[in-house]
Amino acid sequence: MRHVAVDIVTGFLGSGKTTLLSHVLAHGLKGKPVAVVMNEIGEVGIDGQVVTGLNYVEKMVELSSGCICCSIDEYRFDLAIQELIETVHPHLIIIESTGLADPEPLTYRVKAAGLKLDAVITVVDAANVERFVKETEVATAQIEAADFLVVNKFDLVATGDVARVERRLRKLNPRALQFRSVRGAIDSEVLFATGVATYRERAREARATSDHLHQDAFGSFLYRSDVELDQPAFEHVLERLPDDVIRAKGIVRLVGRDWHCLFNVTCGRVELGWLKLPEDRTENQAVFIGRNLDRHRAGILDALRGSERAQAQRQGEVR
Amino acid sequence: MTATPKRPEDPAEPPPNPDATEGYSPEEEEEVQKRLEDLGYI
Repeated sequence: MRHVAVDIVTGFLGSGKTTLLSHVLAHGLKGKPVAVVMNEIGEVGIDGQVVTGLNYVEKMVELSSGCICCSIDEYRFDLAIQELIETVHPHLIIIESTGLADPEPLTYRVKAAGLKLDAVITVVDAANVERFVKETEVATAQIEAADFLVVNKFDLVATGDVARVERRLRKLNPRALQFRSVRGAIDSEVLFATGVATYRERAREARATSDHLHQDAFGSFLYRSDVELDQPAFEHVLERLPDDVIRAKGIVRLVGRDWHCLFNVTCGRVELGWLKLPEDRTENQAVFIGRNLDRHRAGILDALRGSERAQAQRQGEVR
Repeated sequence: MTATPKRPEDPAEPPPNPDATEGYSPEEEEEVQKRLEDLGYI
């Protein structure tokens, strides 16, 4: 049973990946079963020693003596993943790559291993990122692959320079959502898969407290329906979500499919997966997380209802 | 020399036959439910 989500934490040498990971793990991820794969090029894993022992880490596996994107073979990678899944049954695996890894091949590898890619989180050193981008291709690749860009060490840079760095990053990757952080301290739950459940819970509560959504930087709302959706129309909706929608996630029934569809949208990247669930489970459920959702909620829900209608129309045409 | 993993096939198509045609055991169903809740799918 491999219903495991993977978040990849990447970033150039010295950007603060391990510091970010330590902060996030030390502060919880809401106590979900999390496993960590640390990849280091050297024989001795220093970063691994930092992460081991944090409260919420069920298990940490080190892949040393090679880079996870190129020189560690698929067999070793699969073995490490298999060991994690069999021994601790994690719901989320966080992979921290080396500072020299290109995340894109790693994302293919994750998917090929039958895991669900949740997000690529790239940490950048605000003081040095412009130089790294000029001097190396991999620093650019890391930024371009990101769903979330964490601009770390921004306290070490003048305000105007941070704004310039952020503009440069936006040029390289307009899709990614940017966060600022100091010493990896970041309080956003949208970064990791397990944080989505929190927003779903808030969206449920929002029924009772109408102004709740306005209190947070990000809001959320739910979509629920008992009608099967037309797959092309549904995918069309997901691919055209407004940029303000940071994440969308859920389970829906699609016409002509025996399996339930698990979908995940992270900063415009759409992933569909499939899961065999009992047939009596017919309700579509989805959560949408982002900014300015008051502006977008009605349009998105209308478009989803349109996916229901698209199916009804097609059935009418067949008849 | 480095080896770049091949891009996997589009995962959008599920396998033609579910591997668990008789469904999950009650324990497995409970586990699946918990995972889906934890990851925000339901």
